[in-house]
Amino acid sequence: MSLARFLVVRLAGAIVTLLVVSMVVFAAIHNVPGGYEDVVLGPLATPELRAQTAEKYGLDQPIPVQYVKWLSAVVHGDLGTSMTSKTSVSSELARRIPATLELVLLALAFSLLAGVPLGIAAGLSSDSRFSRATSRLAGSLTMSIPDFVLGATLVYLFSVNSWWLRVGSYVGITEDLVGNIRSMVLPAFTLGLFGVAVIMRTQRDAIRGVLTQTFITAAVARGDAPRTIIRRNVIRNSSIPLVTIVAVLIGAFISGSVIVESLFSIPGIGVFFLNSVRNRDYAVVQAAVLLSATVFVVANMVADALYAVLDPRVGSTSAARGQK
Amino acid sequence: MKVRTGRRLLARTALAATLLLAACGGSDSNSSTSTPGSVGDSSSTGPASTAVPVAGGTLITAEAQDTAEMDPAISTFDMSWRLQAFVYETLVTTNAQSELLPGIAESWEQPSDTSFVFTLRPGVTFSNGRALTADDVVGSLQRIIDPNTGSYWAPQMGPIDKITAVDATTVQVDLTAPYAPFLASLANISAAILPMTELTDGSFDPTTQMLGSGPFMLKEHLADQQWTFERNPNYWREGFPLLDGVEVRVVPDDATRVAALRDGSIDIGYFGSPDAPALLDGVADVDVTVQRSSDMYWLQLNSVGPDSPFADVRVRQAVAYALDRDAIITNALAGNGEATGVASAGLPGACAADGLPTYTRDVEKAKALLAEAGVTDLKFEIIVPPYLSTFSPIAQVIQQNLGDAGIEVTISSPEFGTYLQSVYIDQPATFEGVVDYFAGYLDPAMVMQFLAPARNPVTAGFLTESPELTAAIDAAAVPGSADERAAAVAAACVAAADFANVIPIATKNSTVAVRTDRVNGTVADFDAYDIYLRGIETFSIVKD
Repeated sequence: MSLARFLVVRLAGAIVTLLVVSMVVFAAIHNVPGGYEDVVLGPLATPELRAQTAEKYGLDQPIPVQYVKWLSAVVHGDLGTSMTSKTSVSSELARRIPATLELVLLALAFSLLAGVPLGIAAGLSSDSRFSRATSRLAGSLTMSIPDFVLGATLVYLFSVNSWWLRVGSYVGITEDLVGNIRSMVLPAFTLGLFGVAVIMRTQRDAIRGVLTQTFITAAVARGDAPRTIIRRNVIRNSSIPLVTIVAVLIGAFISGSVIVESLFSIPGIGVFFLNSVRNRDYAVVQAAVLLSATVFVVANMVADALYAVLDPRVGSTSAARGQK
Repeated sequence: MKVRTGRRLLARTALAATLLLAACGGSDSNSSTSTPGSVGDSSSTGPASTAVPVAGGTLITAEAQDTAEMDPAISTFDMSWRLQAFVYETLVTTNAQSELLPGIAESWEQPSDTSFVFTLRPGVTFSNGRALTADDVVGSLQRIIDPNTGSYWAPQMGPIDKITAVDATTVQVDLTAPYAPFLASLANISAAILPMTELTDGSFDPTTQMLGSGPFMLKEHLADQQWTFERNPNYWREGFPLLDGVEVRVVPDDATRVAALRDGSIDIGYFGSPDAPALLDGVADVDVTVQRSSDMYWLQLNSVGPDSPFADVRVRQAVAYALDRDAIITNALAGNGEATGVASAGLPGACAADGLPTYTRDVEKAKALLAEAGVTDLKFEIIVPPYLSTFSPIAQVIQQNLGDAGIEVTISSPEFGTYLQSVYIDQPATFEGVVDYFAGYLDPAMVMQFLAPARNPVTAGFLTESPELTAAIDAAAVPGSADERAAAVAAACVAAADFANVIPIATKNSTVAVRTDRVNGTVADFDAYDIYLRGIETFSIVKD
C-alpha cells in the first residue's frame, strides 16, 4: 500500500468516524429526559409556551430531520447559534479554545518532558532498583490517582497556603505571561501526571523490546559506540509506540480537561461543554463533541503519518520487507 | 478571619458614604427609612479599619454556578435573582428584618382589604434614560400573571383581579380576595419592573438582555465565566452607586474561591456549602458572615405516581417519623441550619418546628404506621439533584434514619435535565423521593402555596390535593393581626406536617466572605430572597 493510499483510507475512516460520533451524540442528547424548553423555561411554563419555544428552535421536528439540517449547516461551516447565549457557537468556541489548547499542550509537554527521560532511564537500566522504583511510582502513585482527587488536593493545599502558584484566578497568556504560568502550572500538572506514568511505562517497555532486536546485536558487533546505538537505534525505534500513546493521550487530556477546568476555574471548552449539556444547548454540545472528536481523529492520523516516517514498513509494501 | 452569625456590616460604610455624598455636594433626598438599601438603615457593626472608601472601582465577586436565566419573571434560581437585582428594581423591597420598604413605589395605600394604590417614586428612569411610568408597572405585573408567560411567581402574587394605571405615577391593584402576602410578593426580583415600551416594540428581549432602573447595567455575560456590570449613570438615587462596576465570576470549586479570596483576585466569595466557614478559617483580611435565608431543605415524596406507596398518608408519616433532623443538621449541615416547618423558621411569624406532628423522631411509631398500612419491605429511591453539594449528605443521613425503621433507601444523582423532567415536568412525576430546597420567600404563608397542587402546576405532578391542607394554607394568607396570622400559619404548619407529602427538614444558610481590606459594604445576616448583596449601590472599594 502506498503512503498516499494509506492516508486516503485513513481519511475516509476518519470522516466515517466523525459522522458516526455526531449521529450518536445527536441522538443521545436529544433523547435524554428534559429538553431545552424544559430547562430554560422551568417547571411552571405552560405546555403551549414549551411548544412555542420548541418550534422557535426547530426542536419540534423529527430528530433525523434536525440532524440533517445541522449536518448540512456544519458542512457549510455554520456550527449554529448557542440557544443559551444567543451568540454563534463558533465565536463561543473560539473564545475558549486557547485556554483548553494551552492546558492540553502544557500537560502533554509535562508528560513528555518528565515521562520520556524517566522511561529511557528505566528501560536502559532494566531490573535495577531505579527501574523497579519508577515502575512502582508510575503504577501505584500516578496512574491510580484520578484527576479530580489530585486536583482537589492541590486546590485545597494552595487555597490554605499562600504559595506562589495560583488557583482560581486564571490569567490569559496574552494578558500576563507570568500570571498565566502561575495559574496554569497546577492544572497542567494535574492533567499531565497520568501521562507521565503512561509515557514512562510505554517508553521503558519499548526500549526493553528494542534492546532484544537483532539489529542492536549487529550494531554492537559492528563496534558502534553505545551512545550512538542508543541515539540512532534504540530511541528512534522505541519512539514508535510513543507516537501512538501521545495521540491517545491527547484524547484523554481533552476529556480530562472537563474536570480540571472546572476545578481550577479555567475558562476553556470543558466547562462550557459540561454546562451546555446541562442547559441542553444542543448546538454547542454537538460542536464541542465534533471538535474533540476531530482533534482526536486528526491526532491519530498524524500518528499514522509519523509511523510512516519513523517506520519504513508502513506505507510501502516493499519497504515492509526491508531492513531496520 | 472573623465568623459572624449576627447582622453584619462593615460599619464604616454609613459614615463614609455620607461623607462622600457631602463631598460630592449631593444629598439623598429620601429619608433613610424610606430608601431601599439606605446607608442609614443599617444598625450593623463591622471590623475597625483605617481604610477610606472612595467612589469608583470595580467589585469582584465569585459564585459557584452560572445561570442562563435573565428574565426575572421566569427565573427560578437564586443565582439569577442576585444578578438581576443589580439591574432591576421592584415596587416594594425588603431588608434583613424582613420589613416591607418602598422601592420604585415611594408609598402605597390600602383603601380596602383587596385594593392597593401605589405612588411611584419621581425621577426613576430606566438605564436607557426613559422615565419609568405607571404603564411599565402595569405591563410588568400583567406579564407575570399572564399564563402565556409561564411565570412561577404568578401563584405567589395571589388572586389578582385587575391592575390599573390611575395616572402616570399611580398604579392600583385589586384582588378578588384578601391576600396577606401580596406586598411581600412584590418585593421579590421576580416581580421586577421591566421597560414595557421597549419590550412591546421588540427593541428589548428580556431573555437575552437586561434593561432596568437599578444601580447597574449588564455590560457582558461570558457564559460559565463572568458577568460584568457597569454603573447606571441614570440611576435615580443621587450619588449612587459608588462603584463603577461589579464583576461576578463563576468559580465552581469552594476551595478555589477561598484561594482567590486569599490571593486577592476576588473581593467577595459566596458559598453554599455549610463547611465554608471552616474552609475560610485563618484566611487573613476576610470577614465571614453566615447569612440565613428563608430557604429550606425539603424531602418531597411522590404520592401521585402509579402504585406509589406514598399515596397512603400513613406511609408518608412513617418516613417523617423516622427522620432525625438533629442528626441531619449536625452531620450533613455542619450544624448550619435549624429545624423548620413549612413556614420557614427564619421568617417573622413563622411556626415553631418543635411540637409539630411527625417531627419528634419515633422509629417504633414509624414501624407501627407501616404495619398498619400493610406495607412490608418498603424500598424507594431518593433523587439527589446535581446542583447543590449538600443534598448528598442529607440524603445519606436520611438513608440511615429510615434504615432504622426498616425502610430501604437507595440514592441516585441524575444529571440536571433528567432531575427536572422526573420531578417537575412529568405528569405524574416519575421519581419516588427527592431532597430539594425551596426559597421560603418573605411571608410565612407564601411558599406553602405550592402545597396546594390544584393551583400550582409545579407540584401537581407529585403532591396529593388535600382540602384540609389547602384550607389551612388559604387561612394562613388571610390578613389579620400578627397574633391572628401567626396562629393561622401555625395551623397550616401542623396540617402540612401531618399530611407529610412535603417534609421540611431544615433551613439553608449561605456563607459570604468579604475582603475587609478591599470592600466597604453591608452584608446582612438574613435575606428572605437570597440577595446577599442587597444595597449594592452603597458598596465601595477601599483605598488605604
